[in-house]
Amino acid sequence: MEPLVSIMLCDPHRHYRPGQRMRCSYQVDAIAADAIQAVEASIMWLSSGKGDEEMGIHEFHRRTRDDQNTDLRMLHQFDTSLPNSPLSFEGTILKIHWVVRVKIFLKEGQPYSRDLSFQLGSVAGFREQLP
Amino acid sequence: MGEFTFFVLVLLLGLISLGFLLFAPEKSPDFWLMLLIVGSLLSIGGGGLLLAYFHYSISRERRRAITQKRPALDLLKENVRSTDRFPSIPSDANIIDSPGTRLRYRLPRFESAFWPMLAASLFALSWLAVSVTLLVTVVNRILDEQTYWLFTAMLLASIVVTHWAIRYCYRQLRFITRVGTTMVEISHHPLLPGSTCEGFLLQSGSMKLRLLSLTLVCEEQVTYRQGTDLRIESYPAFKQKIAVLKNNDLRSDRVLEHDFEFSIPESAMHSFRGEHNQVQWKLVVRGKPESLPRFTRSFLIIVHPRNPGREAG
Repeated sequence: MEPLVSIMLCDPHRHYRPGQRMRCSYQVDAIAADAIQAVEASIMWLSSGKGDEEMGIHEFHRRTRDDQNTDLRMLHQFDTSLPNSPLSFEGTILKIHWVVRVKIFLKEGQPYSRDLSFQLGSVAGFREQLP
Repeated sequence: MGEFTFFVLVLLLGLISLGFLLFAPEKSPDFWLMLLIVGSLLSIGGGGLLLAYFHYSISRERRRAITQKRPALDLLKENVRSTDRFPSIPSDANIIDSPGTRLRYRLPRFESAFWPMLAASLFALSWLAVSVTLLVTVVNRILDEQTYWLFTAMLLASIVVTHWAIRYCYRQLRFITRVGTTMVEISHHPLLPGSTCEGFLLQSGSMKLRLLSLTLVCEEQVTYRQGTDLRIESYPAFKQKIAVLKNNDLRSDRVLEHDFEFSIPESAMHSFRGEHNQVQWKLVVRGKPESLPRFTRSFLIIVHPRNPGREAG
């Protein structure tokens, strides 16, 4: 059975301005505490479209299970100032998406990850072509 | 997992060979050469195994976070580069380092004519050397009253190639000297969506220019692997004609000068450069001279986002 990961952002519309402070929290459920080895949370951009995919990490946190941190399922919160660029973009052959990704490393089996997308900036589609 | 197995096998082969080499009763005459081969096997196997371990044990995001240069958000830092404040936006350092003659910045040309010209010259010179060598050989054989038809045929073929290469080189040289310099200057940089910028275009040369157009272009450019090939694809997301100049007679004492103004659209995407993908803004000059091939010259400009956050200052 897959673990249940819920990610919450401070803005319910998930639309942020460059440089704006973003508070993010996440919680893991439907899995035993000792089955989790580590949890990674990243705020990152991903490119998609025709070109090879790439990513850029803005914020990265890793929590591992130890004596002080026995239950990684608990609600965890962190905040960050979003960068000035790259802004979310919906081009024709290139798209840039911002996501919060929570990745869970299990004691057995493949890691499980969950993404929550958000919008950074507002670049509308633009076009003004001459023949 | 296949990668892991491969490096384990290479490492094992290296270890077995090392044992055989060190403890064999008779020393091989090529001991050092064998040791070099064994050393290579051990380093390839061991290094590969280590890399594979890091690859599998560390997540992609963590690797990226470690290797990626983090944006410097420190406002107290004396020299905050534009790439620090605006991650993934190319630096404008090579744009703002050239002052213009009329406006503040002279834009650097995107592509250089030097390397194609050098390649064409080297190609022509190499074939000229081949032709001369073959000619001397054939003449010597003829003087010795021997004729090698193979050499003669090669000489004829090489003369044809040399003729073509020298003609091509001459045409390129003539083109470069007659078309002259294209210079574009702008009043400020970097540009912002919704902002207007003054520009100045200068075209020199010795030709009758039927048409010269100046266009503002925003291009999405991606690279991707298809099999073993690396492909590049572009898509013009935005194109706006700024100026079209017709029928100008250019001479050494008469250059074409044109002042213009252009605006970056309000909703424009900023410049972006990743490893495989980019969004680039450029001013493109296209010329159509009489009795010469058409030419295109591009000048890169950098567009920043309009409302940077407080890190931008």
